[in-house]
Amino acid sequence: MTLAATTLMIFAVSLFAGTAGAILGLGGGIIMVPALTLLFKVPIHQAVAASAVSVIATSTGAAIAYLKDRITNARIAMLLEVGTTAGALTGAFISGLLEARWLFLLFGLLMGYSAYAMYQARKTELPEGVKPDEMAVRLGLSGSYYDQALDRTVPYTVARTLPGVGLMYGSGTIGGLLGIGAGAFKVLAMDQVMRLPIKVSTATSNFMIGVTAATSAVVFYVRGDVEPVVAGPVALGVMCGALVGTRLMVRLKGSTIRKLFVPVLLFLAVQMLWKGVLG
Amino acid sequence: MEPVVSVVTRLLQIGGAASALSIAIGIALLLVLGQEAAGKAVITAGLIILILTPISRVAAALWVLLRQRDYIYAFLSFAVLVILLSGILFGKTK
Repeated sequence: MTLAATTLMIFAVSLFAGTAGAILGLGGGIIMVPALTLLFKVPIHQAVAASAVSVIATSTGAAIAYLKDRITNARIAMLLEVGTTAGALTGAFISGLLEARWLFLLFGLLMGYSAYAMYQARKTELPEGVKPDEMAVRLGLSGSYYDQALDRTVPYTVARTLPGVGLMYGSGTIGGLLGIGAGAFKVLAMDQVMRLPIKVSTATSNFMIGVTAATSAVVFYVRGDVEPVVAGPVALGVMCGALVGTRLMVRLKGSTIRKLFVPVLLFLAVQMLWKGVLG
Repeated sequence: MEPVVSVVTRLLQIGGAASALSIAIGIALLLVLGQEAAGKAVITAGLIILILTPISRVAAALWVLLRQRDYIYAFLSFAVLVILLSGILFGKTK
């Protein structure tokens, strides 16, 4: 295949990853790494580095749109980022010490369970009866957003804030250790534990993932794993995809987004279990 | 929080656009004009801009929050910045 053809195809796959990532609050890593290694035979280190770049690209592209639409909750993001970046640091620290295989198996099972939980919640449009905890009140975490699909303004508040920060720490560690799943974990934590509306969860997750991926990306760059011929079209494709994805997300109903999440979580679970089984 | 959101949005727009433009030009140099070294260099410049964008938006948020005297959130942003920078330093020495 010529370089031009390969570049175009990588761009096309990245478009899809960026679109899906922007809708679901993920970085697209779960699509990019298998696609780059299996379809394009990119060496794994370069694929992982390009994937980190794609997460930053999704995050940047999606954040611009969601911040302007006032769906992202900047306060919640700034609070949770402390947890998520600390987790990423921990993940990087302990990555040499632990047998990754067992982690992949454990989190594969966790993801599988989450897929089931999301499936159970698939008809839920908005959270009901959420009581803010004290931390949420003191930090002013409540908010509201205009839901285009429902054609109304939705006020919301936050529960179990500190456990939420703890889960963000966990998600950052997983991302640092396994390279995938951090975005999905964030959305799950915000959705199921902190009881935020699903659109606020995905938009806020999109905002946060860029920062954690940037830390990894700097390390990859210094190690020379960022190959311009791979990461370039990936970044461009993902950014364009994110622009499309954000326009789609605001028009979708929350329950639709939940239903889209279920196969993604299953796909993640399968990928993790696969890695865990193969070792 | 409004001023923080507008500054951050502006920064992300500039970073994203500059990065996308640079990468696009680099790809054009590489594929259309066959300039391999120049093309790769310009793409890499775009990628560096992209990677620096999230980190700079944390710094920008910190700056605005301090000006706003929102010390709680300024502290949170500062914590994130410290963690980010120590992560980068740690990564380089590893």
